[in-house]
Amino acid sequence: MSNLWIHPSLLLIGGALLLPLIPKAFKKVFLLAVPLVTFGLVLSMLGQPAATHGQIPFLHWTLSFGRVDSLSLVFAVIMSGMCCIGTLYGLHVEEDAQHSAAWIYVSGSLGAIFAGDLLTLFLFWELMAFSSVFLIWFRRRPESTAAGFRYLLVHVAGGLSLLAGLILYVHATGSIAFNAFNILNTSGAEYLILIGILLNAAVPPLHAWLPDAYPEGTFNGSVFLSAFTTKTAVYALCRGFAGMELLVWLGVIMALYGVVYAIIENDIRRLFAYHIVSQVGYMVAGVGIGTALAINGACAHAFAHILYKGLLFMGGGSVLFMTGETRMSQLGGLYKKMPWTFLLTLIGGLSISAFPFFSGFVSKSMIVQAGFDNPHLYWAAFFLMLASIGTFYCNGLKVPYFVWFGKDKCSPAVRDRADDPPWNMLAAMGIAAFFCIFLGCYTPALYHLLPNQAAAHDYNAYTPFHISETLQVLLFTACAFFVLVKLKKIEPHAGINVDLDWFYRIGGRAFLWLARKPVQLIDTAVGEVYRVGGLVPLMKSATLVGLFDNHVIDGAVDGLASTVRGIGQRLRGVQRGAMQDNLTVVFAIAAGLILAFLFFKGFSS
Amino acid sequence: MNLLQIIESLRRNLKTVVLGCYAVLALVVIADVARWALTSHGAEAATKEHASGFWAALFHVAENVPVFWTVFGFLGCVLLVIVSKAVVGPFVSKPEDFYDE
Repeated sequence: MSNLWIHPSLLLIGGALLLPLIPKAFKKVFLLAVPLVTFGLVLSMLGQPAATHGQIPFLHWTLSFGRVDSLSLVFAVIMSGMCCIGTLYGLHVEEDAQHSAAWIYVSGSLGAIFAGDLLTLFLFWELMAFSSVFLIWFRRRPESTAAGFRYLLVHVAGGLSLLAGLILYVHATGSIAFNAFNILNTSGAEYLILIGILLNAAVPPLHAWLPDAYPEGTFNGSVFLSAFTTKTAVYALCRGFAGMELLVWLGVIMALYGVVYAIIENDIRRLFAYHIVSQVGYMVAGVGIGTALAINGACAHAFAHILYKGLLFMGGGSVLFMTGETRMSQLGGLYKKMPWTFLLTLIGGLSISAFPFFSGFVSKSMIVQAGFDNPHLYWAAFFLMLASIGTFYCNGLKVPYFVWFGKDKCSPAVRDRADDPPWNMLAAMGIAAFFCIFLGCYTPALYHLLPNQAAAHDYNAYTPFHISETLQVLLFTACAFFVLVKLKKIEPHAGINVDLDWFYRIGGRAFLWLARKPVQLIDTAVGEVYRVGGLVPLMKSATLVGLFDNHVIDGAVDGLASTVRGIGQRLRGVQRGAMQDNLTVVFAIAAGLILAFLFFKGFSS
Repeated sequence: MNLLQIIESLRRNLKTVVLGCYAVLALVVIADVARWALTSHGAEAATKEHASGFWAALFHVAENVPVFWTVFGFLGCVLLVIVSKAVVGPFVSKPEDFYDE
């Protein structure tokens, strides 16, 4: 029997719940052990034949918690691996709830990947949204609180679309199985599901939550955020919508949209966030192309992307953690203080740019090649090549140059604080950097994990044409970059760029204004009635009393009122913090209970 | 040797480093011409399906003209920066306190 199969999410959720009970002396060991054991558990599934475990009857359907096949495993391996690196990176963070939130977030992602049916997918999908928002809130800036609420509201809307689609789909087909949908004659229900997934993949125009929220996360929380939500959505697209032509269009638009915004962005973590949009665009386009090579490319690129994007966010997080600043207009010349952070971030930048012998080279090229294999998709392949220019420009040139070299624009406080980060952060970055180079140099390590083995076996990234093509594109991009630097055309300047989140940020205010206005009108009208009804003479006779009232009583009342308001404001802060902590615990317990219940029920039946 | 010392010695010899970079750029171009000269063309083009239109023509150029990707890289970068900074930027760029109330 397959009863011995343990869901990796269960380990992470169990660990997250036990964490506060672990004595301080063992805490760091425990923090490293839980993700490592989870990673080991996922690795142990690699040799086994594809199977579906953890099937539990529920109403008149069957929930499948453990669909293990080559597609789900390639994503599960990198996600559980990234959990180890991310936890090591934030090892010195003392607050247990931050680690718990991150682990529950990862468990949501792993649960969605192993889900064999739409209901289970939805359950873990929501778990991801509700746990990841704490990684933003825990930064505890007013901006982070607001960005977190926007993030949550957008994801709730996406989740509702997924749920509505799911209900309609189950109603129409009678099945909750999560397999390839009908991409040629797509029904309304399937489109609703697609919209829910596309929102999580940050496909324009549903992408604005990502560059809004990720840069507001904690220094280590954003490392987790950068890896899981979008790539889980890429997995869901691979599973459900491979070969849908619409996705080629959306993917190409995404790839270029992210690049254009990144070029004008000043904040390094927001720039990296826009490059998530851009890189996920390659994956979405790969899913849309849908050939065996393209699906391999989408999976391989997600795999490589999680490592190098994690590395870039760790570099940006180190700059934030050590200096408190992430705007390029306020940085520069940091190589003297943070040389190792520079080198490791540069490795991330070269990997995302697909330099030969770095991980992006062996994964991105599969998607572009799949485009060049089909004469009808030449346009897409050329646009993806164009986007890769912007990728190198931003991650490999602009950020390293303007943060670590260029003109030193640091304030004295920033310059004093700057230094290479603690050992655990450097170690996590070192491990990610090692794997970025390892995957680029030793291709079988990645190619053996891919779902379409025949296509992976036939593919060779290191052909003379491909190496020559890539080196020409990248090195002459660098050439153009330094010409533009010499001409002083691309100095970063202070400022933000509005994106489509403008609509709900300013739109929300307009709504509030509308709500206030009628209330004010009614208030004025009521006042008028009082005045006409003879209040005025009465008031006049009361002037003497009023004088007494104004000077003596009001003085006391006003003082009291301002004191109460002061206390109230302080209380509000406390309450808000406590609410977030409470919510973490409640979500964690609820998710744990549901999982445990379903599993024990499964074992006993 | 210390990483910082390596970076600083590179910066002290910036002229040499820049010359080295020019040499690498030249080498990449020469290597591509050599690759083009050594491979037999025409054989692959014949097997490809004959599609017409702009993208097919561009593909034909990319496959058969050496140093195409050099031009693509340089001009593409300049184009992207111009489009981003001069066309999109003015519409979306706002002061840092834009969303503050």
